[in-house]
Amino acid sequence: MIRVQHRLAPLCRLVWMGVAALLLTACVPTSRIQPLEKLADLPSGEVVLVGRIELDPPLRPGEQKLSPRYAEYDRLAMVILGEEPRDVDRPALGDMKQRINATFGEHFFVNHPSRPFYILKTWVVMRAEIRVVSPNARVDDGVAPLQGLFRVDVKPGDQAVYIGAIRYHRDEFFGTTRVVVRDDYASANAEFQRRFGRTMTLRKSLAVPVRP
Amino acid sequence: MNSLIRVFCVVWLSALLAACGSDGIGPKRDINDPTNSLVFAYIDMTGAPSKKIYEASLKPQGEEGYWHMTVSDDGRLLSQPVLPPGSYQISRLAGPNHLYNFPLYGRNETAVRIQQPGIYFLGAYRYVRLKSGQFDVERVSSPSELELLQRLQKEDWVKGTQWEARLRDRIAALRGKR
Repeated sequence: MIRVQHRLAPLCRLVWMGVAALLLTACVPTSRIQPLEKLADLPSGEVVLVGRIELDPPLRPGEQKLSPRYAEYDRLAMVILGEEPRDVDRPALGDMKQRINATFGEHFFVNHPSRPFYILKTWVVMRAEIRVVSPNARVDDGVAPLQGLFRVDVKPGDQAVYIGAIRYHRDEFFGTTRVVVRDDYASANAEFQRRFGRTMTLRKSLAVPVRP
Repeated sequence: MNSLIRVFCVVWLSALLAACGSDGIGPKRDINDPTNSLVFAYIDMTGAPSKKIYEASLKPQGEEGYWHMTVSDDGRLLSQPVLPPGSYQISRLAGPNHLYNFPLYGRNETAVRIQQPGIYFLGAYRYVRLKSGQFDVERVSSPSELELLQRLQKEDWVKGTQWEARLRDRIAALRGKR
């Protein structure tokens, strides 16, 4: 997909670069899916989702260009969820309200409504900085997509669901070449019990690829 | 005094913009360097707001900046003859009033991985408007690689360089396959 933009006057362009960076990051809405510190914070009718996002090869030091203000996006995967399968061509603000913020390589523990859902796409913020640029410099989205559509089954009565370790393999263009869902339940459950105790059962329901 | 400060500010800002404006990497290499590769593509922009391409850029993966391509007079044939080994894809096209940006991250159809010096055809494309109202490029079968190589032979920048012989060899090889 190509993005068409009008050439802008130099001053407009300087302003636009700043605005674009802010739109990308500062205005990203808060997700309704939040990390859980304790079970008491779990909203009624929701489950604890547990999983992990991995990238192979991992991000190189300095590969993300983030100014200190946007350090929160360091090694962060934004996993977009939805109730129905659909294409997510670009990271729309509405989609961002249904996202898991997952640090690569670490288990996440978040809340989610107790119903099946899809993992629609994952985005990585690669560039978030305010720069002075020339009139002809390009304005980029600054986000890298990780492709792969998955379905996760959540059943009535579930309290906590383990979706697996989703490993995205990439090439040098940041193209997704393969996605593998690995069962790392033992390690996830051990961490789950350390955090939340043994009062809740973590059921395994690995994410199922819907299409490559 | 005020006017002096204003002049200084204008000069300083101009210098800053000029410094930031140069995102091109090449060509700093000798066109006759035997390790060079030639990359070329054809894009028909008839359906686009700009009917011709004025500028085109290749993005090297894992590096800052861009390699700018030579654009033929008709604004369709794009070439870059001094590329070192690496991975590249077309990243931006520019017309008189519009810029056409391919996503910076993720592989597009023009992606090429150069491990050995050679001549690499990225394909022939035409600009299309999608039902969603967005735009993309779509591969077309004509003109062929052979036809475009023959056109490249006539480009001014080829004359007197190693590319005269290397293009001739490539054309002969393609004809031999027929």
